[in-house]
Amino acid sequence: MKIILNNTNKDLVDKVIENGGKRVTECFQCGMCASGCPVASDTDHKIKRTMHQVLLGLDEQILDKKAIWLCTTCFMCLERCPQNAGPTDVVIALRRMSAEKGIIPEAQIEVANNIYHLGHAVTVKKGISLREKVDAPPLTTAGSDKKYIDEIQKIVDSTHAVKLLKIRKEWKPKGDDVIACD
Amino acid sequence: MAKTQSKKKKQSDEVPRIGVYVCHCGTNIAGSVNIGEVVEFSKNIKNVSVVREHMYLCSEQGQNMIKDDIKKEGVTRVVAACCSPRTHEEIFRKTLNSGNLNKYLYEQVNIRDQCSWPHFKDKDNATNKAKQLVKSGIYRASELEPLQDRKLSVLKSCLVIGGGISGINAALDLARSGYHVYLVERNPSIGGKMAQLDKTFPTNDCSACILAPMMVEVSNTSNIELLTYSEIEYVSGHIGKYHITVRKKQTSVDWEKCNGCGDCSIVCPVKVDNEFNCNMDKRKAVYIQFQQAIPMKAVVDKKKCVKCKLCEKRCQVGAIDISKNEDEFIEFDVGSIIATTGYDLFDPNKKAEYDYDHPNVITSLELERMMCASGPTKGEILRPSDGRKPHTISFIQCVGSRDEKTNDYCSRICCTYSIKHARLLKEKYPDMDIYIHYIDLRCFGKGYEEYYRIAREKGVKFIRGRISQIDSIGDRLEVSGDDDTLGEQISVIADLVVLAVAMESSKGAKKLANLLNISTDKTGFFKEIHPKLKPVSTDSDGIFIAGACQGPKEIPDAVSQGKAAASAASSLMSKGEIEIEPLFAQITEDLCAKCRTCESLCTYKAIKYTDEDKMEVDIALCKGCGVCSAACPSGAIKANHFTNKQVRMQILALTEGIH
Repeated sequence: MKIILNNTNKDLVDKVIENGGKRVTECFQCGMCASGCPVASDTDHKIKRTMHQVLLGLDEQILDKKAIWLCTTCFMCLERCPQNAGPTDVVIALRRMSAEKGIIPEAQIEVANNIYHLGHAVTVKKGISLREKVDAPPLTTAGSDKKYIDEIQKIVDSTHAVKLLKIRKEWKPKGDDVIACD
Repeated sequence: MAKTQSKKKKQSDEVPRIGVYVCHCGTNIAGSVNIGEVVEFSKNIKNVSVVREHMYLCSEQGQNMIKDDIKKEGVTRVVAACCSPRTHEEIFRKTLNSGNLNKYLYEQVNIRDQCSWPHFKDKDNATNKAKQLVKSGIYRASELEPLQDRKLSVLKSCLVIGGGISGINAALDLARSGYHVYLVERNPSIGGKMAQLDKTFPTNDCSACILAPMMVEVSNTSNIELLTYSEIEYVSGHIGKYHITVRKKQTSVDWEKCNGCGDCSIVCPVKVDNEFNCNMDKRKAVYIQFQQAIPMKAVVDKKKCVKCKLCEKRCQVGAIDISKNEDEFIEFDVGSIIATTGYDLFDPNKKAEYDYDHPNVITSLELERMMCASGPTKGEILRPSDGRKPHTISFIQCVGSRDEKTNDYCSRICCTYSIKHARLLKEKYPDMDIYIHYIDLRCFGKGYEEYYRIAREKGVKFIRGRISQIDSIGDRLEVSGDDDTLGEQISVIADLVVLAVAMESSKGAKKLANLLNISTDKTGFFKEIHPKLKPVSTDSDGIFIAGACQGPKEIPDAVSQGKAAASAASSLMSKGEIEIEPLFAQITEDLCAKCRTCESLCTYKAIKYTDEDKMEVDIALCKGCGVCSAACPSGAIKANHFTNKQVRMQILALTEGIH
């Protein structure tokens, strides 16, 4: 489909800058970000293209798509970008904007809720019982005591994150076979 | 008997002792020619006394090796098998000179351009060819004769052709050094293309504010003779003394009297397309070219004038005489010439897909004139179709550049001038949507990268991909292209499309090249001898080139070249005399039958039949090309340094053993 550039979102660049992608206009499409990206070869996340789409105001092509959520935020592109255009910053800005619109993938919601309710991005139940079995000292983590979790919830409740990350008061983590401290 | 013996003895004394030097040129030659084989082969050739090889023969060490052999080994002829004589002959001739051997006893064999470069895939044959060429050089060297340079006096005056920024700088530099300068310009005023520009990158300073003071200085400098509205009619003579005839076109205005008040233009009833404003408005048939014109004098356009004589009556100083029709011819002699005739713009009609016929498709220079406060719209950007302010503008790059169908070269300035336009527009109208459709952005100059960065920060959109067509949708234009990064077709509905048209050699370049006897390259630009060694010299001695007549160039480069050409001309003229190669034709009078075949063939008009019933060679004009010598039916003409005997020896070397 032919893209008519007149109809694009002329405010997108300013929005991205506002949300933290401050140097996005420095990008001149050299491609160094995309050439080192560890996820580009196996996913639709093409960071060079994303930068260009922001500059052209093609928000529909970015904000409603999964690609920006596939970035692992390894910061390789940000480290290497010769223009200091901060591609990772741009991705994070886009995620903020996407979440504002209510568009956020299920996996991210799950991680956010895990942190909110358990103090961990992934569950560590199995690890705790394993330590007990071998007489290892008990694990002290953010999730190991109810008072820590209360603090986390207090912080999150005081921010915009409850809405953005779709924090649910009723939460049952999916399975407990993931051992974070393996 | 005794006499014969002594003659024989003398001959044997004169048996040449040839030194052969084979250069590796790093791996440039040695990479594909087996140097060892060439060395061994050369040792067995007659008259060869020393054969050596060197990694870099032109280094000080390499040159000293040759000098030592002249001194210690008694070498009397030198053959260097290396690179091109075009770049290195002069260097090695000087080596011979400093070794006290006549510099014309030197022969250079180019085994780089003729063997290692073209035959790099076939080392055996590259080596065989090198051996044959070296042998032919050695045979020729046996017959070389010592020659003496001739001295020529040089006039301390220079003709600068073209009064653009390059010519102005050349003229000013020469005049400041004390030379007399004739500055010839075909238009009524000097200033050239730069006078048409509003602002210049990368500083965005006013073009006129930089140029106009220089133009004023030209008119105030007593040793610059300004000949505007004039063209070169005829050039004869040679380095040191060129005889110039200039046609001063009839202006019908006595410039001694004209005070540049412009009253004549006000009363003139004839309206003519104004070339200075890219034909976007009208001027009168009697006019002053532009506001800052130097000289600030009126000109009657003889082709358009209806001879109503209103201007004649109006002129308070009585300067106008419409009945004057004849052009004036001015003749003078100069020691050197600098051509700075600039460029013309590509005609976008040749790219039909860009629909230049549409009023809202314009060239960059047209936009530039619109942006200029003294231009046809007084600095406002207005759509030509309806005079309204455009909201969306597309700039299309490389129109007539990097295109095998028109000009294959890059015009070098278009990227940065389009960025300049985009930036200036964004500064003035921040809401305007501006797209630049490019294939590569070549912003290579000092400060240009920052200039480009600021354009991005101001929100100019850069889209990689050549535009394939422009269609009109009512009074708007659909610009269709491809976005390289998106991998999708895109289109912009634009109110105004600006074509970044290429720089081309100027339309009069070919004619001037013929008059000056200088070469042009395949694109029609004047050709320098060598881009690095002699960037402003031409193949006619004493004639230099500078600015965009040599190739597409931005203002800083044109200025630098103008100054470089002034320096080259000045170093030629400063001593008042120069030494030049004695490579001219000599006529043996006893053999000459005065058939005058040579006279009719000589391109340089160097041979003339004299009143004393003799054929005479003007050695200042003769280039030693040898045409006369080859054509002479009685073999009366000897071309110095390329005698029949020398050439025959080369042929013998190459054909020996072939049946």
